[in-house]
Amino acid sequence: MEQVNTIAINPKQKIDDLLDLDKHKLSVIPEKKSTPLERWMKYLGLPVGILVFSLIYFMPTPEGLTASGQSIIACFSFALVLWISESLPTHVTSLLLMIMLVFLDGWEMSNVLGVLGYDVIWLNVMAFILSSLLVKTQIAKRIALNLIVKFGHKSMPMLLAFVILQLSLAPLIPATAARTVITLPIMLIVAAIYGSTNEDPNGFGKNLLLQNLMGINIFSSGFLTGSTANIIAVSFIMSMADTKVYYTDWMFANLPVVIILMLIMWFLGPKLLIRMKPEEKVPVIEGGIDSLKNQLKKMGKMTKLEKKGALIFGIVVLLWITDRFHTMIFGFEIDPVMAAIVGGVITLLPKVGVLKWNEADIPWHLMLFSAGAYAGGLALNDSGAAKWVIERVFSLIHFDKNLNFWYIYIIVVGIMLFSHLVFTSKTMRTIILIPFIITLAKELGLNPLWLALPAAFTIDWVVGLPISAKPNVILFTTGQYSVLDNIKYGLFVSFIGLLLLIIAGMTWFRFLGITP
Amino acid sequence: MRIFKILFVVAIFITNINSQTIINRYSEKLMLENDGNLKLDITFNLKSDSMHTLSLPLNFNNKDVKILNYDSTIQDIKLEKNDGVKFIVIYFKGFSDSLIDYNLKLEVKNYFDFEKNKTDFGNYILSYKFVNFSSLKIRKIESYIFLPEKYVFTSVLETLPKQKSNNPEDIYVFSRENSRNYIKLKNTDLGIGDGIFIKFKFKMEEKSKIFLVILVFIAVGYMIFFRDLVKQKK
Repeated sequence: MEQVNTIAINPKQKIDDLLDLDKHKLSVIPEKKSTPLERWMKYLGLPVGILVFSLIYFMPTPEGLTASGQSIIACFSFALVLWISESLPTHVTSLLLMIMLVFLDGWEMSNVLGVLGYDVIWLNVMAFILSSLLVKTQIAKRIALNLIVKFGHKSMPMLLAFVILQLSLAPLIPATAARTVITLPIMLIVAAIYGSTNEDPNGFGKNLLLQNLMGINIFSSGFLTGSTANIIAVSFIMSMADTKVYYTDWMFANLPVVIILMLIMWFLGPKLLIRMKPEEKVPVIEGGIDSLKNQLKKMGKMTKLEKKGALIFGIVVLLWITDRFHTMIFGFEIDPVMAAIVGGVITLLPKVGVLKWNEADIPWHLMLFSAGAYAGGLALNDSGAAKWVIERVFSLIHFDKNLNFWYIYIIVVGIMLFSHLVFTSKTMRTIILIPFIITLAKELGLNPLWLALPAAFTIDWVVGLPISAKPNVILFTTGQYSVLDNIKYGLFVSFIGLLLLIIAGMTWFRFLGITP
Repeated sequence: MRIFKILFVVAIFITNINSQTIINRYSEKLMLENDGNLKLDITFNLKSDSMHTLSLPLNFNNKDVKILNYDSTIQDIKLEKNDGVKFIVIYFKGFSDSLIDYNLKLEVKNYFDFEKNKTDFGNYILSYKFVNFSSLKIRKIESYIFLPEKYVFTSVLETLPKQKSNNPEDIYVFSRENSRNYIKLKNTDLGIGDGIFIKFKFKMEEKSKIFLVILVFIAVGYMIFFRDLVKQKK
């Protein structure tokens, strides 16, 4: 067994220091050192952003687009450049975006300000209260230590353990945000043991958080019930294409694809995208893995506080898992956000709960980032600008009956996959694109199933931006990785995914009768 | 609702009804001009059968409407007002047992007052509704609202029917023809008393040059103020 103390680059840290998340509060913005490349990006980000904005904003309004839509695309592109370059802090960029949307007649002020009341923001707040609960009661530490003692001698098995964890949670808890909240504190503690904190994130922390982001989203597409959008897509296929798609049809076809995709990402991510230094590949704990074993032993049996915390968290998880039985039990369905708020209330109840308000570590600056970024994304949806962008892309390609099927397949699946970069709503994307794809297939004399089902398999692959989905927003607020890291990972996984879907289309899907 | 019923009865009275007849397609182009006048180009498609006349609703009450032109298949057109609602009464030349397109062109004087209707950001708010007060059902209706040249749509505020979030088909679409932006509103199976409605914002397509100059200043100012970011450290 490789011992941790063979690595001498990083000074070893005391476990209590690392695991004391009070010392690495997410609500405090840490000072980070920048590399020369990052400094250049910061320097050029704002001028480039202004250039991009001006080119879009001052051009004549294209046909089919409204003046509001044009303003929104210009503002969002400007903000995207600033988020990537970090010329301004991400939350300041978001606030700036909110101002621009209103001042440039993009979106009504009431709509922009209303985003702070959206479910994703509430879920974020509750996620951090529940995370603080798991951290304070030491439940997260116990689970993380158990994981590390079993798998975490080295970084790769540790990362794989999380891939397996997310795969096993996916069919049990369809709500991706709920899965994120459950695993977030464990991720943070494991990252801390490997020396990655929000003040000083390292390669392991970035890979861990981003791989979980990919896993949470992508594994949802392994199951028909993984998201509401999947079910909507299948209902379109059934009604418009007159073809039945069963739960097992979906799972047999796409689950192997997503498992292979995640294994490829698990292997390539740390080797190609965000490389880990040797000292980041092992826990940076004084005394090595033995120290962690001792620590776990020292924790002994569960304390009263841990049991209380586990009970509160268990109630929330139970509500998440049993969502399909809610109407039968309560007469109505409890939304995952409301379930989280129930947990938050119990957690903060005097004497009953385990947390005081001051102990809840909520990164408000990142909530503002989320609100602003979401406002941009929702404005794109609401104004029809996102739809217009996709329609332009489709109109650039001249589809006709003489085209090779695989050319059409690649284009259609590719557009469906990458369209998540301009839509923040999976449902909206599905409602717009799947019927369009079915109609296109019919016009080209193709069986709609050949295009629509493989395209539907990518609905949940919303991995490109920190605002592409709720898990992305929640995980970004940990400060463990940058917008650029997310884009890099997200685009890479999307390209690999597309490649896999092409190979699957020509082999596995053909065998299953999904493609010709 | 009561007014609709009254108007429905009135419409029946003034029209020679053949209950089997429906308007197969009703298309109207409303072209707003820079002077606030509106040019209206109506095309409808039906089998006139034994009908002598047809009364079509003219949803421009209290406006001065002028007939500009109509097809040779139409003998005459008269504008009439019953219980406060204007109708175009169309007298057909002969009977037809096949579907024929009929076309007529009208002008509505001083339809829109640009001065009065200006709001924030230079936007104008315009609403338009078509209520089917004719005695016939309309199978398919399309309303095109053209803006004057150099005007663009800002956003749609309200429509009837409403755009349902689970309906992939658009209630309205934006497009352009001969450098004029238009919005197309469509619906099917419009019964008697049913209508379509749209309220939207539009404005002149012009952007402030001063804003562009300010942006350039901000970009240059930022590069000077933050040049220490990329200065070589000795």
